[in-house]
Amino acid sequence: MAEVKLVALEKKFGDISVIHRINLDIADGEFAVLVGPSGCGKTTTLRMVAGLEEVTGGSILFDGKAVERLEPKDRDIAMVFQSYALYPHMSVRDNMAFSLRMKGVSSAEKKRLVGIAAEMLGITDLLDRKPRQLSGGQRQRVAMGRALVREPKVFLFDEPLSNLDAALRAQMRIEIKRIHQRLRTTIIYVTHDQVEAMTLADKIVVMNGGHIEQVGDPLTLYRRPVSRFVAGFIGSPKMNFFPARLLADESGLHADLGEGIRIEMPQERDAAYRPYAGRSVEIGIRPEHLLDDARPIDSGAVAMDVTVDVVEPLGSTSLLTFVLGGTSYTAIGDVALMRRPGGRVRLRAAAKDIYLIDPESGRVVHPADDASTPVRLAI
Amino acid sequence: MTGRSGLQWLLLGLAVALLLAFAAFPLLWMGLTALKPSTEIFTWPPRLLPEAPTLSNIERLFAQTHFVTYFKNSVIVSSAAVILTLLLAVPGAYGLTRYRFFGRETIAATVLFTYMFAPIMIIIPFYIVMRTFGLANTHIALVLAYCAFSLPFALWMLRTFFQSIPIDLEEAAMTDGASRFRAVIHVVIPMALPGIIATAILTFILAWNDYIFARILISSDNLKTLPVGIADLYNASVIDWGMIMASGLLVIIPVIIVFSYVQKFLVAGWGSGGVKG
Repeated sequence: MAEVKLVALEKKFGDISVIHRINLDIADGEFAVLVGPSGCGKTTTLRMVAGLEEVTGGSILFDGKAVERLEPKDRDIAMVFQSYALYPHMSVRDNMAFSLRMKGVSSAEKKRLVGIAAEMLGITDLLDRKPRQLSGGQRQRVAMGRALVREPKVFLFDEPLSNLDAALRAQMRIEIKRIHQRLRTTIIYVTHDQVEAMTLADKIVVMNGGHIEQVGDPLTLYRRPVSRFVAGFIGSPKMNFFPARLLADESGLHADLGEGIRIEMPQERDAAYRPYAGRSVEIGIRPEHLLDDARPIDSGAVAMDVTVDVVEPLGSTSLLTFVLGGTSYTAIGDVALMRRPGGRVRLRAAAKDIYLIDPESGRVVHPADDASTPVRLAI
Repeated sequence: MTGRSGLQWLLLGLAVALLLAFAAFPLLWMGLTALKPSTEIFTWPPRLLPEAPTLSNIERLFAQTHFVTYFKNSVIVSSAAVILTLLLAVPGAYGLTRYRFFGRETIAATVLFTYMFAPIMIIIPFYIVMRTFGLANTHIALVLAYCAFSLPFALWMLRTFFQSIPIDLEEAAMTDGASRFRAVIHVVIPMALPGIIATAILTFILAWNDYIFARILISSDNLKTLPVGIADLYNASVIDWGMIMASGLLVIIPVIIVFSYVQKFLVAGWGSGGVKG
């Protein structure tokens, strides 16, 4: 177990800089998820922590000790690869015992440790098979088992679930979380799937273009994204971004979304939003906060009248797609209302669920006193 | 296993039989002649099967010639060539696959280019080099020659094999606590084994069958290898065909044995399943 620190970590391939001096602290026993679109540098960062990629600049500290010049074998890490990377010429047992063999652990001890890990993952009856005789899900378990037999300082996961089907992925997600709750080993986990990030992480690190956009626990990232990128990346379905003009009149600030749609800005955000008056901004509203239901519109809420384009029933709710100014947006509807394409609906959002984004900087403008907004569960 | 009709099978069978006869008949003829007494070899019309099979040709080969010495020399030289080639080609091909350095692709391409020279073109310079180093008329010279000739192909072939091994496997071994060297020993080499064996066989055959290098580089009778030794049987005043055929038979037997033993390793790869689901 170890605390991991990245200090001004930098990576260049030739002249191309792919990681720009990032800083990150991961506490001992923490489950940290690096998430971002492909090419954002998350896998490169993980590989630098593993020692599989040379560091161009900066430092990687395990419990305060610099490891960036050490060989992977000397870092005391265990890694699960996206491809699983099982040794095809070895049985499952030998695959799992490989790291112990490299350490010179006695046969009896090897057997015991492999047995424990196999038990934990429910693969005891597969130990004598070769990897080619396993299904994708079983291979994934073996790859995890190979990492689990040791007690490394840090577990590294590189998109371990991306080759599984949706049902297995959900199951393995729970299992990984359970294993972490039991072992409490520091984990760095890379994924492009924000659902995995939200469900697994103690700490999410959103990366974009070789930078860290934001670090925080899942709910903070969901509620207080610092940028349009994070706001759009975290949450499913994706947040709606409406281009608008922020206008001021005697009743306060309001956003004009075009097509006669006007959103009154709450009074308490006036100070934060005032500098943007008269300018083009973006208004962000998550689909799960933009509702079409039978309740009357209350006073603290905003409303917009739109024409339904597509209806996707999900069972308990339905996704309503509507078009404004040539762009598609999503709202959540009540299935009981039986909306049809072409019908007019009035969508409602609570004022506190509205985000204002400065389109020039891409930053979300947060009112200073907004931190205590109560959490609303999605869908 | 698609639905071929009886006629198609028949035609296919005929084609195979024809090819087989073309390839195997000389071998068969050699083997059968080796078992015929001298009087039977020139009978007309020729008979396929020996009337009075005998091992006298083989006995004479052992008694009257240095066949055993030649055979021993061939085994030593060919085995040494295989070992030296693999010792150089395995690390060389690995380096050409896994390390990035300036001119890597050029080196890989040039290496294959050298394979295109016919041995005869370099044999005289090679002889002069060996003589300068005092190695003419030694087995070392032959081993070096065979190694020089099989190395380009060996490098090329092994590189292809190493390239087909996912780098993830080595990286997994390294994160599992193996040094690069141990990752190569425990993961890369076992997976490249079919390629290594194929390379070994090709090198062995090249060395085992070589005539021209052995003819030019070796002058002492007790250092000659089989191809040269057998060829010298023609220089006798009376050409003993029975003995020549017997030596031919004995030359191919070890090759056939090695082949049939090693063949099972050649069935390419360990199957998929290491990487990806």
